[in-house]
Amino acid sequence: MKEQDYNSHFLLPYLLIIPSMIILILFLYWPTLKSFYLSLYRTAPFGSRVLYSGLDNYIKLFTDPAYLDSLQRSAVFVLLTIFGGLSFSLVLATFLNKKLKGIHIYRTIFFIPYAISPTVAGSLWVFLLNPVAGHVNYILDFFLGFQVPWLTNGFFAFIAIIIATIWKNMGFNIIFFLAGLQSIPDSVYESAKIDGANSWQIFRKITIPLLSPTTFYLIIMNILFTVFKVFGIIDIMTQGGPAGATNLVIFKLYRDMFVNFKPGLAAAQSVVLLFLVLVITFFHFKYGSKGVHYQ
Amino acid sequence: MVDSGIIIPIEELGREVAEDDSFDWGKFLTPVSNYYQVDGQLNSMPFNSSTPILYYNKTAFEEAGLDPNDPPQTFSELKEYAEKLTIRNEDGDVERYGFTLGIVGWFVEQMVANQDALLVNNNNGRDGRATESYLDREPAVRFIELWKEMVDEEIMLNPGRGWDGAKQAFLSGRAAMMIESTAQVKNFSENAEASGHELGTAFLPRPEGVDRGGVIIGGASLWALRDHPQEELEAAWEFLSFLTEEKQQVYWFEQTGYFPVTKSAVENEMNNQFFAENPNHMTAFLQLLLSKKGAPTQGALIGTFPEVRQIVESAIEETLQDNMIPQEAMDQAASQVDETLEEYNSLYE
Repeated sequence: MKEQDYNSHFLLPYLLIIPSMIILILFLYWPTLKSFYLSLYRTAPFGSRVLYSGLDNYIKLFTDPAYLDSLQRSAVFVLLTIFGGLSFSLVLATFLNKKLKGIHIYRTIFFIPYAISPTVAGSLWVFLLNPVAGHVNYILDFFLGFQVPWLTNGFFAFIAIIIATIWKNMGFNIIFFLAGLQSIPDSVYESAKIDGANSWQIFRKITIPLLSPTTFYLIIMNILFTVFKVFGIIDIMTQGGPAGATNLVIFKLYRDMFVNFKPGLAAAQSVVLLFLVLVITFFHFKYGSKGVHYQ
Repeated sequence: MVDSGIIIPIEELGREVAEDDSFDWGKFLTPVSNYYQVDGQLNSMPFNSSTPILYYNKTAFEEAGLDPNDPPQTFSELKEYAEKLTIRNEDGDVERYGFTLGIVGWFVEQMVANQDALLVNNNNGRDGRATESYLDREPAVRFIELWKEMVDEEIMLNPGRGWDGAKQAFLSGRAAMMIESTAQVKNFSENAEASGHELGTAFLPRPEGVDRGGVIIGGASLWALRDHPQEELEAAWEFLSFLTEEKQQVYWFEQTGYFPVTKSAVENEMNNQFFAENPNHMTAFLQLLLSKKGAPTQGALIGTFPEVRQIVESAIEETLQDNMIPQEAMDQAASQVDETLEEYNSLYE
């Protein structure tokens, strides 16, 4: 066999990655660097004045009760959404893993929410939860005799956003859980049954551990979803209200930039978010894999 | 916008860039040109104007034994009417609310102006940069107090932030009165006709014993950006002046309810009896013409208006959710606004 002369091709690999590097540099690395730069300045609307302000933006952020509150709410939101979303999706995935007639249709139905845009999803929930004409309140009133101020009360608005986000990401989670479930060999279940394990024991001792690589991956993806992609849903459903109850970090960032025209403050927030994501990813890859059972 | 330096004042565009001597700068209604003037110069081209008015369901008034031609004029009348208009079923649940209002900062500004009071210091920011907000003073606070009382007594529906919820409630008959922009006159009239009730309109209510100020112009004006090639600027000017011609102004008015910004368009509607046949189209217009001239009704000049409106909306939500009493929430809002003003002003020192 003729030996490859790698040296004569030494430019080729670089040429091959140029297209993706251009995109990455333009849309990822450059904006990231620019955020660092902007976060050290105060900029007038439309950029007519730019004043150097050192770390003022960061100091202002971390002494602003509204921002600290927003961070805290986001953390609670992420925890509840991931815990609720993953458990719910796992349960649905086990049902969808059964060999039923027309199972493909059911699977498609559950995947649809993931395929529609967050704007449409948000609008659908607004219709459903509308205090005047919403179906949810109508049904609650009809059967249970009470109505819930879904989007006008802080607590319920927070719950509504969680429900909408769980529903929106459900399709994605179910698909991955299904794939995970199907990769567990039947022989494992069979021998467990022969040993006399009941279905709860099988689920608890076999399914969950063998699914852990999938779960681990989904947790990371869901953190990213719930921190960043929830923007569309909040923008349509609550605009961060009432009284800041659903003003999560990503929405506050958007508002400071595009409504309040404070690029420096918004850039500082995106730098903070970048660090949070780095930390989460680091811890997950370093320590998260300990509890994960790879076959 | 003016501070940013990226816009070209419309008067400069017309006179100096396009050198159009035929354009009549006096064609605009005085309250309209007042609002868009800074330092005696028209900054943007008035296009369509609106003010908030009270809309009410005349049929519901009759059912409740109220005179459909005698709409509420004061805060206490508004409350009293709303009580009578509210219908509860045997479980005590409200089937129809007397009144509804979306949580929108603009309404608070209008209610303050309607009491002939200022929103910020330095003569509403017209004599110098605004540095202090008056949101914590009586005119703003007593409106929020009324709002809270009416929501608590379940005679007013809180549809949440924004415009749509309240509109939906009024159109579907779940609320008998609401305040909205005059831009909805055409839409609401058609809807009322379709659902078989009669629509009434009235001036904004105000507290008893307070001098009537008036309303501030809302609606839209068109801006031009500096730093464009001469021919683009000339084309922009041509388009902007086209929009202020009588025909365009009349068409837009009749199709929406936004009222025309030029004197000739108003004259035209007077002569062809449009006002006489469509009295609801007249309300907003009269309300503006009867407004007192002065800084309160000229509107506040604030560099951070979008943020101020959010602060106000958040304060209303805090009170409606019982987190704070109105005075407390408005004190907090005022100090937040002061902070944003201070920060904004420091950019231009």
